[in-house]
Amino acid sequence: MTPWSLRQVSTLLGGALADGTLSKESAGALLAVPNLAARVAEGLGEESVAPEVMLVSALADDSFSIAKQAPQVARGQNRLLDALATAQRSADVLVQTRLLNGAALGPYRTLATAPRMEVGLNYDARFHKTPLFDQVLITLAGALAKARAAGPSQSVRTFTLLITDGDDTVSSSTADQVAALVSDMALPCNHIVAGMGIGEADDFQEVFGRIGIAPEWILTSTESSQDIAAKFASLANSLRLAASSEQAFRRLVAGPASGTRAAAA
Amino acid sequence: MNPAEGANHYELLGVPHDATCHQVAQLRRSLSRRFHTDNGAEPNGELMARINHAIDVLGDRDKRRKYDDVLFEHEHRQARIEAEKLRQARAKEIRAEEIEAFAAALEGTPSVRSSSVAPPPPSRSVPRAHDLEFVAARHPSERTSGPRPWQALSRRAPHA
Repeated sequence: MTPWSLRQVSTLLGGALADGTLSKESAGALLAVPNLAARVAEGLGEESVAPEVMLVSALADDSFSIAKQAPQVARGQNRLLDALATAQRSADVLVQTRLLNGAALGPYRTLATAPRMEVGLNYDARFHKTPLFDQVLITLAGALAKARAAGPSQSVRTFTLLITDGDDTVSSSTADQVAALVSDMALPCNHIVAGMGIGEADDFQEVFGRIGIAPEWILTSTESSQDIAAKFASLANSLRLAASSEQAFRRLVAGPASGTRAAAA
Repeated sequence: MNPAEGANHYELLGVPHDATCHQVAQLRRSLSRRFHTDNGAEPNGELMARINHAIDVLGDRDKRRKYDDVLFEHEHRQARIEAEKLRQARAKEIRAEEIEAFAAALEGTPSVRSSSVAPPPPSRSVPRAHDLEFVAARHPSERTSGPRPWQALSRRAPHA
């Protein structure tokens, strides 16, 4: 796997600004995060030549406050990978899992080679900071850059999942800046950002709502293992659908698989 | 009914997308009664036909599913058209030197052509007060590193 350079990242994201995919507000937001291009370059990883590609990006909290739930988070994330691996897919899936304090389990990889989360091995919830906004910007910028690296005949859709048990505590960027990028990425209707809030320390509708995540895609869970597992099961269903066809993905943009449209039918 | 022509069935009946088929079916009686008896006014035949058709469709599970598919694709197409218009408007407005300044700032290198729109390259020796204030607002960890080329971006009025 050839490493990506800062020049390639700046070309990809500069292209997004040039063709209007990125607003100036979003561009300013990306520059508010120190070393963003380097973090993005580290994560770009493998390429796919399939006509349809789905990029799945997860950002998991690794602050010490979530340590008790870390095994459930790891199990849940692995369940998502399993769901995608066994799903009937119209798209080739590339996965990247990042952690809130800056580490990445690896760059974008195929499902066959994507690393699984293992508590104590590559996932250690021991940090005292929650730089949510900065890391969401890095994760989303990575997804955008990766999508733009695809060939002209490839159709790319992206699904980003944010998992946290608390609000931002330390970022250089602001909620409004993240919201600007979330909004830009949502415009072409080929990107879903979901937020999963664990515990009751914060109002996650508010936390995720401030950064522009649609209410339908804000999932909240108590700290119980069963509840966390149920939320991941729901996400697994959505991801299966998202991978199954472009049309199913478009439907999901309006809300998860168990959302109102499905209920009405 | 083609969703592209005027109000869709949900809007016409004033029901939410998650109304049950049973709730929709119940509308027929109440709406029909209202249109036939309101102040003795003559019922609008064309409107009544549209309402009855909308109730027929939304009150039937299979018809409604097909209608929802068509409506959804129509809404999606409209959203894509609007997004494309916005994207093109942004692309027209952005200037080459702003793009270059953005790319250079991402890479952490000074932009050669950015001098007309962006402040000079970072200088630790002669920071300017207003630049420091701006940097402090964005980079608490880099308060002494001087101005950044993206100032030209962030100071402009928002697009959307």
